[in-house]
Amino acid sequence: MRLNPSFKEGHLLIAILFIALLTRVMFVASVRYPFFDEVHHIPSAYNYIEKGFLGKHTWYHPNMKHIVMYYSIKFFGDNPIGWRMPWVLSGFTSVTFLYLLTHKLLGSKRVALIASFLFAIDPLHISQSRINPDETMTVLTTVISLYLALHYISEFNPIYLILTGLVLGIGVSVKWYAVFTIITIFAICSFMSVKKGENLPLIINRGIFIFLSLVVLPITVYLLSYYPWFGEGHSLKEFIWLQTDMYKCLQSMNASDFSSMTKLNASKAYLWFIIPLMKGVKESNVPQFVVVVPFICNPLVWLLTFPSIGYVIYKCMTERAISLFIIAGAFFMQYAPLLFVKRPVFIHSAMSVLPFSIIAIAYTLVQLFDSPKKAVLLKSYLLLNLIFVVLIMPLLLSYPIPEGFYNNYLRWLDMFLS
Amino acid sequence: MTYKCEALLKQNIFYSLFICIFFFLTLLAVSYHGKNSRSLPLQSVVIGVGVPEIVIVDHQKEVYHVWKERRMHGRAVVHFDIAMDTKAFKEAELKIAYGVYIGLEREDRIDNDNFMFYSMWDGIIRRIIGVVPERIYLTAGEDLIKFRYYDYGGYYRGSFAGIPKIVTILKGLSTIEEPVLLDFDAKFFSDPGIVPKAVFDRLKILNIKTDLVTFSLSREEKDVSPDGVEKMKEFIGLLKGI
Repeated sequence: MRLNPSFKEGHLLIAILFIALLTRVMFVASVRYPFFDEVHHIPSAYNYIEKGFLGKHTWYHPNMKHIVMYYSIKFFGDNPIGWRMPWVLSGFTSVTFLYLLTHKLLGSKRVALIASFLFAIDPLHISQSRINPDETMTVLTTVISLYLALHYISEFNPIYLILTGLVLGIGVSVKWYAVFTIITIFAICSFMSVKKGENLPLIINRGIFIFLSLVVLPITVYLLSYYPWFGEGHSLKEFIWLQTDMYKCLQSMNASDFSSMTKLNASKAYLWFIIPLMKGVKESNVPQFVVVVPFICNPLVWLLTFPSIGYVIYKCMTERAISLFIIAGAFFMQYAPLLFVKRPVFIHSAMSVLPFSIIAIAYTLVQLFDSPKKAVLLKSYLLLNLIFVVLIMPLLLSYPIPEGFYNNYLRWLDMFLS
Repeated sequence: MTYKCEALLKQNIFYSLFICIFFFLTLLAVSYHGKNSRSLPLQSVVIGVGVPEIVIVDHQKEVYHVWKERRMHGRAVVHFDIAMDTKAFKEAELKIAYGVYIGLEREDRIDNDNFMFYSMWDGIIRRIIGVVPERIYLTAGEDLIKFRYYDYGGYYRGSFAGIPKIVTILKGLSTIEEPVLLDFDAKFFSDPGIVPKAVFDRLKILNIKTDLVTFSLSREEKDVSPDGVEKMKEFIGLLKGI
């Protein structure tokens, strides 16, 4: 009996989402102590919401993560689940929305399934969804906002753009990198609005609406995220001072400000997709156990980034397809600033580029291996990826290893750790 | 113009207005929230016109308790000293962040170096304008830059955990709209370049408003000279109009 293709695809999608959830939630509470950035984020969450105080290590970043962390702790309790669950859910939801985004963008369930599969088993995204870096949430807001913006440009229903603006506002309130997503979406919406070629008053009217939705609305959300800080008596003038000081502080940072991360190739964003990183940071905050925070990229996927983007650009020029232009444009808009930014950037910042890299790879794979004869190659490649991730899964889980066991049998791992 | 175009136009105008209103309401809300959170005094006096409440303490750390007893919140303070205690702030913040998290008491940790930090952390002060003698200011630049203060020409500004801190000299002090807390340390007056009358005149020219002036004798501290204490007394006399 031959299965209905959409029935089969539906089951595949459920399987992918199950893998995405399982890899992110499994043993997530195994480290009972706050570790890695949690050491700063948990006290900062309390300090910020209850006192409006931004915190030594976090004041120069926007503070939405503190708000999320605080209410997660209130909901799930002051325990590892409360500390980590928002990031687990962000990681899982990102995979779901990457499927929707790819499908909306390219109209192919096959490409969307491959993209979401590769993203679901991406080692870096898995490990970063299990601790709490800002980037996991930035990726989520990027894929959701682009998905909503695509709905807007296909129907020009203003509600979609307002939702896009709200999501982007949350994105900027998590990390400033989301500004690049705003610029990307602003450019796409403006271009599509003009391309639609309606009368001038409507184009102008829509232009103003796009500006308000994608610039003013995110600023509004950003301002609101500082509400507890204003509660300390601060004025709007002091808010502007703070933003200036944040910017200056970030610009003046160097590798010495990130002692544990220096071996992770700071400021070498151009190497991310040429020499994929396979390292980890040994966490010292967990007594009697060794916990490794992995920063492992999947070379099978990451090495295909530049060839695939090249292929997408080639197809974009030959076929003049807007969707391919959006993929390549979004990739460069996310990647280029990281190449030139003054402060050190680390491998987890690559996650904001990853969705577009993976969409391009999935598209290229389907384009090049679409015939039934070559399908076996594609399936083998995907299987190889799965095997790779299964093999390194023990490392990705950051499971606490008793110190004695580590010293006797796993000392050799030190060569990968900083 | 087609009916569909007109409908889209109206929809966009409606939602644009909605965003503008939302934006301005947010601006109003945060401004109001900020101003309303400050415990502004019922009565404040302009320096040289009236006499503010004056409190003299032995050690700087007591100033924290003076402010706390008066239920100060969200205030701007002009702090006259010879050091900005930047390093002590950092250490205190680290302790307090984890101390509070694991439920440790902190009252006994307040000392002369970090009392300002605890005042910030407890919401008593939200903005610090530090005035140091010119001699200190001229050599402090490198240290301040290390702690991420930036030179704005005439003053350095940095942020400590979201709280703006300005470091300047008497000449660099500018008008402040709101009533401030004035806090003087005897070490400031112990600097040979500080003249009490000049300090008083500068505050008077700037129309500085205050409701509380604290003076710390900083007893047993090596940077306090008998001459400095005398000059501080002279300044108190000027404040009282004697």
